[in-house]
Amino acid sequence: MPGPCWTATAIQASFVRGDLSATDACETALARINTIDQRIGAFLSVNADGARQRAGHLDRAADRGACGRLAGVPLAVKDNICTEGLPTTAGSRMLQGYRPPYTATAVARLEAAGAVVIGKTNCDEFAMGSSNEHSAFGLVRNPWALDRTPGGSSGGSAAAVAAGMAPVALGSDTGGSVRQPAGFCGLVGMRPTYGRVSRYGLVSFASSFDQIGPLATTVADAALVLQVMAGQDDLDATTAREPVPDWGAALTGDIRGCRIGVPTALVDDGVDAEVSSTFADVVAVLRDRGAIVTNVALPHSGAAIPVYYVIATAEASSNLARYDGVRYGYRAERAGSLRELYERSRDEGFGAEVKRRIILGTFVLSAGYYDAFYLKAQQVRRVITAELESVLTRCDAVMLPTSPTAAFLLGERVDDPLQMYLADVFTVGSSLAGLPAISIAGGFTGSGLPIGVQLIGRRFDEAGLFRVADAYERDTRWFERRTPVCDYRNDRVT
Amino acid sequence: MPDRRDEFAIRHVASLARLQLTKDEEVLYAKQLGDILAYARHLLQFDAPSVASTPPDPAVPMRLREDRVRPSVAREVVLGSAPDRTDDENLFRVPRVIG
Repeated sequence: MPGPCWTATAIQASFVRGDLSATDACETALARINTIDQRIGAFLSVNADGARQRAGHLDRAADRGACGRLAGVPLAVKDNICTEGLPTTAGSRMLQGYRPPYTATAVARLEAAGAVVIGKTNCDEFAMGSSNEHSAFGLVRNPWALDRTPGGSSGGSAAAVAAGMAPVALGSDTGGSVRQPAGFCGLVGMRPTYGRVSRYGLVSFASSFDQIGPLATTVADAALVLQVMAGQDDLDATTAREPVPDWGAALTGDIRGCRIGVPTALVDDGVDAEVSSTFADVVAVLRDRGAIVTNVALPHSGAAIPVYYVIATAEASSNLARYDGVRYGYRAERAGSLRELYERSRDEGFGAEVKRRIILGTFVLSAGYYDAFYLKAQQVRRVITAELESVLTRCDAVMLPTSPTAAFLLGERVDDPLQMYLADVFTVGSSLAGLPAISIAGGFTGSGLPIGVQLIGRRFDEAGLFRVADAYERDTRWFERRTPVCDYRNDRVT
Repeated sequence: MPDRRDEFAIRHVASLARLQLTKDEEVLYAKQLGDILAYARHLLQFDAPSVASTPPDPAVPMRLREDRVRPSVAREVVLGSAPDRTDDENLFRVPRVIG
């Protein structure tokens, strides 16, 4: 059984000590993908040759200690994050076969620290979805229950880590796309403060929300990956010059006196009974460790879903205008005019959910509706942001479930977009405010499905979130549970 | 909620977005977007004229990078991603626009 040693932290330490080669770590990941992924569908492409080459290069280094904080660590990357020379489809037929001529800053920094990209993971098309059923290249199954969704849109990344195919992965979070799949798959998933991680090389969906974040089995791994990729980047003007602290140092286990606010009215409304009881258990554990948990009010949080879906689709309709069949991506054949080329390429290249959101975004920006929907949504976004920031002057973190339910069945909501959107009720608030938020494994349902719990923190206070999450993890160690698909008895690394 | 007028509106908005929808898609999207907009109409009740209707101010002001020449992706590489290009010149090819 692989214990906590199949973590980035342990792999790097073993590599530096000489107990493990980067090649062995890489081959373990590739072997697991080979045996498990046909049942899961987490990877859209596997970088076997490139990963082996890179691992061999690391193994030949004269000084292993100088190879970086992620030396030898296999890394899965969501397929909406550009990797030079490797396929980057964003889960869309529009980008099938596209190989970008550059690498995203986040990935480049991780590679510079010794990480080995083993493949690109499935996702909802252009990161639009909460179940990974909106990928043009097939769905992803939850390793905890193969008839259920792993969540979305970073469903492939979450499934890859939960099934042990990669110790860590990158996702992107616009309205909850790292946190919700982390919750559904029993992982740690962090959405950093807006501006903490460069968006250069991230395929744009909604630019005032999009952030790249890590998915990992432990808080220490999530902190390490974020640490390496965070920080100002000349190639993204929205990145902050804020210093990146040592988040590993925040993992002390000491949360005595830490003030955690729970918006009880929101948490009590429409949440599955097992999610509620797990949430209460988490509160009890944190209180036992000395945290002060109090009730707080977020009266405008009920408007977060419509505000998010108005603004995010408006931004998406603008961002996705670039896919016109001319410079790169899919082109319809035998178009008679330029206009027909645009329209047919977009109709044939985009899937249903993307078209739905482009139309909604175009509508709320159109004459006669702009004031009523878009401007109004921007006003309420400000109110929701101010409300959360005000609560966070009195509390160190706000705690919510990650989702109202555990992972739902594949096919259950795919034909009802509004029901799918409503499942994001707890994740979109921090996205609107640009605040950091982390989802951690809070426990399991009676039938063995993970339940996620989320903490929202002050701007640039990822350290506070990591500290609380780590303290909880020390007492519960949910990461020791293995998904039913994991059978690693013949692995070279266990 | 959807009626013939909504379907017409869908066709108009799709045209603005340069999307050519099938008849079935028009009917489906008219219904689904009608449901979503009915839900989003909660927003219309919000009344706070004193609140600005611009995006939140960035927490950290954006700063432009230093204006200096740096290598960029080579033209041949960029054109390599094009669905169609001219054989003899470094140009993207599109259907005839004029004449």
